[in-house]
Amino acid sequence: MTFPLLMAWRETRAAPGKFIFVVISVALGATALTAVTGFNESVRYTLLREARSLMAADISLRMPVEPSAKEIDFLDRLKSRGIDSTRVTETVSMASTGQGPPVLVSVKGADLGRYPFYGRILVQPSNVQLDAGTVAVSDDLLLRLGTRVGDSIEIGNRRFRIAARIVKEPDRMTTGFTLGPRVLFTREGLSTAGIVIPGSRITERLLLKLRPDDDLEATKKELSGIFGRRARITDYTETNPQLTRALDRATRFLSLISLIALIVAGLGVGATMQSHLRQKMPNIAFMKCVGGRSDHIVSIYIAQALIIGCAGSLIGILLGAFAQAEFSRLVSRYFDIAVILVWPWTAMLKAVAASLATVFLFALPALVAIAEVKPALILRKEVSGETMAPGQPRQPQRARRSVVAAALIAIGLWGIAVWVGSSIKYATVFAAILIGSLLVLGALGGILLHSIRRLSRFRIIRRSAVLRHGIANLYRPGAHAAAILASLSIGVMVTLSIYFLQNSLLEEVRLTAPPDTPNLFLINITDRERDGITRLLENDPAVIEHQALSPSVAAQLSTIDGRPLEQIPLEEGARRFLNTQFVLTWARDMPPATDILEGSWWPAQPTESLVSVQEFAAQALGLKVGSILEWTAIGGYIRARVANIRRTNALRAGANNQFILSPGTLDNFLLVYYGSIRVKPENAAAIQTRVFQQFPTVTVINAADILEIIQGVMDQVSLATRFVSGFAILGGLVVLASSIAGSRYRRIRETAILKTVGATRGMLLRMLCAEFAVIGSAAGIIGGALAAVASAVLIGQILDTPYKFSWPPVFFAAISTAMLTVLTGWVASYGILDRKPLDILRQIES
Amino acid sequence: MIVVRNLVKTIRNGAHAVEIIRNISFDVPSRQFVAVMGPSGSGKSTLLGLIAGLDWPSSGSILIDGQEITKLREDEMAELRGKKLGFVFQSYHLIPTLTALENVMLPLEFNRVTGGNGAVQRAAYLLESVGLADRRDHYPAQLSGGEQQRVALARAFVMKPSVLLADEPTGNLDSENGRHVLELLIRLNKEEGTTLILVTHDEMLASQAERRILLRDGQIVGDLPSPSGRGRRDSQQAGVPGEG
Repeated sequence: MTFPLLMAWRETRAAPGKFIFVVISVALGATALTAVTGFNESVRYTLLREARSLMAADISLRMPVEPSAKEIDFLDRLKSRGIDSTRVTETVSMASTGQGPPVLVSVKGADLGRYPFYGRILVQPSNVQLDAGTVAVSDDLLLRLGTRVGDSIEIGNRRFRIAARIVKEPDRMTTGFTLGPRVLFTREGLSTAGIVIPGSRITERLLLKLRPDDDLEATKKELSGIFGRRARITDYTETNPQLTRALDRATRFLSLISLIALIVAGLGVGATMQSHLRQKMPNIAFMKCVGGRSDHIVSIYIAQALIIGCAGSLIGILLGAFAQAEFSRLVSRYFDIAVILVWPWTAMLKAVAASLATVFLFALPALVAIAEVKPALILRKEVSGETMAPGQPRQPQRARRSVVAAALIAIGLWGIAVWVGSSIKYATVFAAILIGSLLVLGALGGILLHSIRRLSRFRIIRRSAVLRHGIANLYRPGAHAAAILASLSIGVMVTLSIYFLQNSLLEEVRLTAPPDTPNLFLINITDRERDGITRLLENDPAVIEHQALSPSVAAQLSTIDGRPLEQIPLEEGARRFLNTQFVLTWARDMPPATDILEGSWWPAQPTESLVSVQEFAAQALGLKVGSILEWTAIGGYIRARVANIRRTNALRAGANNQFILSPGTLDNFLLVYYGSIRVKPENAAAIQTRVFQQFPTVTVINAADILEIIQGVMDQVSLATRFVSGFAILGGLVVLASSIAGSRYRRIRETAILKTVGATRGMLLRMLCAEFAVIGSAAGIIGGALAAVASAVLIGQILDTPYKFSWPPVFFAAISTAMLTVLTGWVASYGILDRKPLDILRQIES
Repeated sequence: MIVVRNLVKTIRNGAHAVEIIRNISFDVPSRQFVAVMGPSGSGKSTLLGLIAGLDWPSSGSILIDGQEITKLREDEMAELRGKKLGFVFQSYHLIPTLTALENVMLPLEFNRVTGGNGAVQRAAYLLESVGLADRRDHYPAQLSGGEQQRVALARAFVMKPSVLLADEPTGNLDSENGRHVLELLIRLNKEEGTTLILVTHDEMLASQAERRILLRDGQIVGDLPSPSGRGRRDSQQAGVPGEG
């Protein structure tokens, strides 16, 4: 291996500038991959190091209901053993200054003397101690209410003074996704607000602090025996599985996107190696004359490709380690965690390996051609290849070699995608789309160049020397137009696909709700408030339509036909039924827009407790008409027989519940009501204000706010994605620069000759513009078209809805890609137009 | 020892077939200096290429030291070339990215005859033999035409080939450099004891050979000892020192 490396080094050192652009493009790919996977590493390190602080405890039990007396007793017994515990209650409510519409807020009540067990809550001013009459709020609530520290706000039944603003909560990430700005109460304060009522939707977290010598697993086992399926029990060593799952999913997706940047670099490597080896053919032929076998010579250029790959990847991983910080900033709003950035050694190694593999794969086609270089090339006369030596490759064998190289590239790319994406399924889909796109791009590139060649015979182009020469540069030998087109188009395709997907998802969310769908949802209505709310909704002129309030009981499914749920084998998607608190409601009549798939709806006065099951739940749990279901709720057990299986399309409160019970089944339970109304969007704030004024503990959720939150999250995600895909576009521009640099000598020579025959500097500049504008706009159009196709396929698979194509983004992509390409071409061509013709012509002569 | 029998080489030029070499047969004993002459298009370079195994004949056979080379695969031929054949070309064909020393070392490295210092020493000796010891670290672009051809000469002899093939080695040189290169060629040939086949249309060059083979239209029209016999007398008188 020493000799090939030595020869490769000798070849590279003689012309380092030749490969500088390729090195940069490999570096860009490695940077993107390192930034993404390195960020994952840093987050995991942070989660591990700060695990206790992130949980604010050693063990956390998360429940959708308040703990029962038995459970509280158990916690007290643990306390007597030295295991401290505290409760944190979280829910949603409305907050108002009394002027203007109320705002939906996320509320947390905790014993601030004990919580958090680890880490610290930081508030400003820092010396403030909250009490039952004061709260701390997040900055965005101050902004939205137009208020400040020291002012009062109404939440629930009373007013609270804003004593401080929340700067940091150690367990913010553990809370997960929240609706609206945050408000921090003491437990006393929260209880006096009256917003936590039996049956209302809350998240209760029981936090435990163990003694140093307590056994974590044994304690968890004890807790599991008491709480069963009512609580999800995790400990600090599990580094927040929900978060890490989300993080891994995001990393997988973004890693694959960053792989595109590497592949763009690979295209550049392939093009550069091809033209490099073309120039080296006489040398290769001579090496064969003096005893160099094809495999010896191939190993030299493999070594050279790997040297390029090494240089690029080493630069890239260093930049990527620092680019983590930028990436962290982009996703900070979403993760809301102070990530401790570390040197991501594993990510860096992975990026180096992926870069080297990609470089090697894309250099293959050029390397394969070495075997076909005949030593007879060295002679003065061209020698026909007609006479074949024994074993000499014939044309079909040459074609077979190319097919094998192409197949190796495809398999290699798939393998790299599997490794980088850590999932065979996703990597296969990704690789299929990418390879398909590359093939299509290759074909389209060929068609485009052929068409350009034919078009250049048209008079309108022939008459213009600028257009003619500029366009002719695209299909000259060694022009690499196809590689440049592919690399630019891929970057455009990825970026636009994200944009189309995001827009379609948002549009789907908006359009799924037909015009007569409710846009305000009222939750946590007590029995006491029911009649008052009903009257308000009936009499308020702003309310266009409302349904009767739906009663609900929160309950957990415990048995099916007498068999405990945990003993029933459930598929992955159905396992969430184990821990879900269902909202059980009852209805006399069948909800609108409902189809009965099996069984029948019950009569007006059924003689037994019956249940109607939504199609999804029926399939997931294997239910049929006649199955007996039992739930555990606050206040007792609920048992009912399956009367029918339905499919409901209506977006109405109560209509879409997985389980609807027959009248009378919930009579002995504490009911909480919820409702949905339709108002004109401009009247939503007014309705919220009126409801809040009369019923401050009722939460009114505006669908538009939810949409805004979803849009915000999607914007954040797409920003991060575009950051990564930007590397691919940049890589494409570098490939362009590389191609220009590779043909620099030819361009200088041509410039000299054109100047000699009368071309001005302005004409030469316009030729360059024509060349780059054509390839840039072609890349934008083709990339946009492919993005539309890819999005249509993905949207059809994910959303099962038709895709609506939009022209403006494609048009914009074409224009901006053309402009970027022209700009890059100008920069890369710097100095070419300024050389004196005579100097160049003398060099050519000599 | 080179044995050529019934050699034919036909190439296809569009729809026409052109016979470049027409049924040539001849032998070249070991250590002989042969000049192959003829007008342009007579097939001299083609014949050289066939003997070198750079191309394959349409029919016929070529044996080098008893080994039939026309049946060898390309990589096998490459190995044979590395071990037994040396080349000097009109256009030098130095690798522009390698120094003079590295160019001379190249055949040794390819054939793994000797690595590291051994290769360097052998290459350095040969560069000294051709008078370029002080230019060993220069690139071809930094050398004159004559100097480049001398480097090519050194490279041709580095593997101690049994056969040296030269195709118009002085074609791109002025007369002074050409003469100098020829002297070196002949001296090194005597020192290393190789068989030398030189293709040329230069009468002065050919006069140095022991034997002339004349080609015309792909056929041998003359195969004579050199009129002056100078090549043989010079070799007898040289008394050149061996490897130092």
